[in-house]
Amino acid sequence: MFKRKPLSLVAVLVLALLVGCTAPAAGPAAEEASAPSAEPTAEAREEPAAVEQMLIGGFDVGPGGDPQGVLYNNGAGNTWFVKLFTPLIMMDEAFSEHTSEAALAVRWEPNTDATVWTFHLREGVKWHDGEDFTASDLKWTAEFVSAPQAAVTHYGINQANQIVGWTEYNSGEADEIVGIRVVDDLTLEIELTVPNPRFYDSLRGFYALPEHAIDFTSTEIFSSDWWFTSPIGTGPFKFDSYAKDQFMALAPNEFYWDGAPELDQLVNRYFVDETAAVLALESGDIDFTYVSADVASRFEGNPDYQIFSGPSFVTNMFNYNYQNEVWTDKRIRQAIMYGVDRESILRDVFNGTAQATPCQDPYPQFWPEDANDYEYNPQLARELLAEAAADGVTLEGINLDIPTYYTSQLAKDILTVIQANLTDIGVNVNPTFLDVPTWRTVVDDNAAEWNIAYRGAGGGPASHSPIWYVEDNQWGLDDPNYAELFAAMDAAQTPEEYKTARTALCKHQNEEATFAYWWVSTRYGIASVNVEDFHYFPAPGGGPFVDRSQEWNMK
Amino acid sequence: MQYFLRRVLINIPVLFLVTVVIFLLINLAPGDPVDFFVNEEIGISKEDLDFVRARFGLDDPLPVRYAKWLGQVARGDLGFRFKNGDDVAEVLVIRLQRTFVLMGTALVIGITVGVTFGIFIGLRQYSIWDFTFTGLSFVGISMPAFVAGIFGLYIFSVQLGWFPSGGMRTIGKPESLLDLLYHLALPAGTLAIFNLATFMRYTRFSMLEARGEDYVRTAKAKGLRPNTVAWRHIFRNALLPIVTVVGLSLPSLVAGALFTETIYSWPGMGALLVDAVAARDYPMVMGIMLITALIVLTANLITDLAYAVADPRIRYE
Repeated sequence: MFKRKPLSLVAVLVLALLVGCTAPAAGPAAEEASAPSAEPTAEAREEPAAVEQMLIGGFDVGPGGDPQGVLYNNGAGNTWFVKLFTPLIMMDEAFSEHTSEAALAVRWEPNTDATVWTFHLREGVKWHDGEDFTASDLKWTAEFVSAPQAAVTHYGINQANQIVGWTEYNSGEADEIVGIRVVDDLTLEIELTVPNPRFYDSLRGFYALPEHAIDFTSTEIFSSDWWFTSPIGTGPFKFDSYAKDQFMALAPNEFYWDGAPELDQLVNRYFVDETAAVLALESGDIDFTYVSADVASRFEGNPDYQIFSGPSFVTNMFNYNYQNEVWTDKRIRQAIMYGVDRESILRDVFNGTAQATPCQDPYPQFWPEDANDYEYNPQLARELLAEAAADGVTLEGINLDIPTYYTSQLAKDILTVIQANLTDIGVNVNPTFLDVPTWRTVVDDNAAEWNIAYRGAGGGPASHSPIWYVEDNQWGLDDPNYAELFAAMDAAQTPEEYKTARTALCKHQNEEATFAYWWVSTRYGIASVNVEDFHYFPAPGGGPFVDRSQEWNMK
Repeated sequence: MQYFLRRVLINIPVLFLVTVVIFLLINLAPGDPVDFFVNEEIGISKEDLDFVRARFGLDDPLPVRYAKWLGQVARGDLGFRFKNGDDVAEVLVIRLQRTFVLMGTALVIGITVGVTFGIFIGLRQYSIWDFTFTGLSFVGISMPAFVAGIFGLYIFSVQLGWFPSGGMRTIGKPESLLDLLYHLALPAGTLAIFNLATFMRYTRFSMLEARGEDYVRTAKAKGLRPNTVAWRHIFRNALLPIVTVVGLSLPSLVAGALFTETIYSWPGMGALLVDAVAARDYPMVMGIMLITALIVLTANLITDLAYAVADPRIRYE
C-alpha cells in the first residue's frame, strides 16, 4: 500500500508524532514534571482545579535572566529564583539608595570591629513541604555550595574568602566552615578574617537550600533534575509543574510567612529572544516581559500596558588595555572623553533613557558634586592628542577596533555616533559586535591585541575592585592610588565614612578618566494592565529585590 | 541488498570525517563554554574560571578531547551538556520529536499542496492559473523564513488573534492533540510556504518536460482519456525529479528551522542548535551534527532507493 502512496507514509508518521508529542514524554524526569499531590484522585488528575488567577510572564527575558538556570550558577535569574527561594537579605524595591531589606534575616549587626556578624532570622518560616527553616539550613547551604569540586560558579556570598575557615573548607583541608556558626535555630553568626562593615551587602545571593529535601551531591548542583522536578524553597510560591524548554508553573505556598499569594498560578515562559516575548505580550499570551529601551517607547501612552523602569545599575564604559603604553597617558584618555558628544547620545540615541555617570559607580549617591562632566569639546580633545603626540604618544598605527558583546540596534547606533565623534578628532575606531565567548577571547585572553572594549559593569566598584584596579589587575593598570582608595572604603566604620571613601574613589576615577565611564541606561519591563499590584525593576542579575509577589493579582 | 550494504559501509568513514571537521570547527570558534557562563555585568575571577574549565575537561589538548568524545560515542554515549548537565542523547530524542512534528507537517503540506498545484499548472502552461501560481511561487521562494515568520505572527496572532504567539501548548490547560495542532498551525504554515513553492515549481517543470515526450504523444494518439494520460504517462514519469527534491529536503526535518523555531518559541532542533552554538556547548553541538549527518546520509540512501519505486526501470547493481 505504502509503496504506491509514499505520502501516506509520511502523513501517518507525522500524525503518530503529533500524538506522541501530546502524550507525556518518556525522556528524562525533568522533561515534564508536576508536583506530587498529597492524595491525587483519578478525578483530580483528569480535571485539574480551575485556575482563575494565572499570571504568565517572560521573567527570564533580558540581561538579568537565566532561562532554565539553577541557583549558584551565573548570578543572574534572580527575578524568578526569588519566587521559589529566599536569600538572607535582598535589595529594596528600587535599590535607588543601595538599601538592603530583610528577607530570611530580619536584622543583622556587626561586633565593634565588624569581624563578627550576627544575623537574626525570621520566625515562622517554613519550607514548601512544611518543615521548619532554621539557621542550620543556611550553614549547610554555605558548605554545600562551597564544597571542593562543587558544581557552582558563584558561591552566593561575595568575598566568601573573608569568612574564617572558608578557604580551608573550599580546598578540602577542613570538614566545615568554622567561621559560620549556628547560635540557635534563629541566629547565625559569621566571623571574618578582616573587618568588613558592609559584609551584609555580600549576602544578597545567599539563598537557603533545604538539607532535608536535597537528594544530590554538591558536584551535581548544576546537573540535578531536582530544580525542575521537586524544588523546595521558602519563597511565596512553590513548584507546580515544568515543561522543559517551555515553561515552569508555580502554585501559592500556603506556608508563606507573609500569607499565601493571591495568584493561583505564576508561570515563567521561556523565550529564545526578546522579540518573541514582546509579540507574545502584544498578542495577550503573556502578561509581562522585560523589554529594551527602544521597544519600551512603542508602549508609551498605550492604556493596555503598564511600564516599569529603573536604572540598570550597570555602567557602560570603555575598558582600556594598559598593557599598551599609550593608555598610560592621561591626555589620551581625557581626549576620548572630551571627543565624544555624550549629551547628544543621551538625548538623541537613548531618547533620555540613560544617565551620564562620572565614574564606574552606578549609584548617584556616591558621585562627587564637583565631578568633571567632560562636556563635549572636540577642540580640546584635538589639543590634548596633539600635546601627547608631541611627546611621542599617539593612537596612530594601533588597532582601534572596539569589540563589544552588546549587539542590539541601540548599541550599534551608540557606537556609530562615537565612531563619528572620534573620527572628527582624528581617532579612527571600528566597532565590532561579537558574542560573549568571542568577546572574552578577544579582551581577556588576547591581551596585547586590543586597545578599547565597550562593555557593562554592574554592582559598583566593590565587585570589580580586586580584579580591575589593584594589584595584578587584568588591564595592566598601575595606579597605586587605587589600593589606598579601596583600603579606605574597606576601613570605613560608619555609613558616612564609607560614603566619603567611595565618593573619593569615584572622584579619582573621574579625574584620571582611568576608563571611559559613559552612562547608566534605563531598562524596562512591560506588564498588561490586567495585572494588579505588580512590581518590577530591572535589577542587575534580576535582583533579588522586594517585589511582594504574594500581593500580585489579575483583574 | 549488496548495493545497500556497500552504501552503508561507505558512509561510515564519511561520518567519521564529518565529526572530525565539525569538532575542529566548533573548537576553532573563539571562546569556550566557560566564557558563556560568565555574566560580564557581574564578573568572576580568573581562578574560578580556570576551575570550571578543568571541571569540563577543557584543559585537555584538542586531540585528547576528540578521542575521549569518539570513545564515548562508540559506547553509545553522547555525553552531557556543558550548559546544564542534560544527557545529550535524551535531549536529542525530545527535540527531534518536536522538530519532526513541525517540519514533517510543513513537509506534508508542502508536498500535497505544492505537487497538486504543480500538476495543475503543469497541465495548463501559459494559462492565467500558470502565471498566477508561478508568480506566487516566486514570492514564496524569495521570502526569507524569518520575514514570513514575523509577518505570520504579527498578522494572525497579534492583529487577528486567531493563533497563539508561540509555544507548543496552552499553559494551564491539559495537553491535547487539538491544542498542539492549534499551536502548530502558524509555524508549520509559515514554514510550508517555501517547501510548497519549491515543490510546485519542480513539479510544474517536470510535468512540462514529460508532456513533450514521444510516449505521451503516442498515448494520446491511441485514444487514452486525458486523465489517464496525465496520471499514468506524464505524472509517473515526472515523479523522479520530485522525489529528488523531496529527498534533499529531508535533512531539514532534523536540522530544524532556525528562524521559525526561534520566532515561534518552538523548542526543536533549530532553536537547540542556536542555543548550543552560542553557549559553545561542544557535546550538544557534536550530538546535533552527528545526528544530522547520519540523517542526511540515510536520506540520500532512501532517496536513491525511492527512485526504484518511482521508476521500475531503475536497477541497482
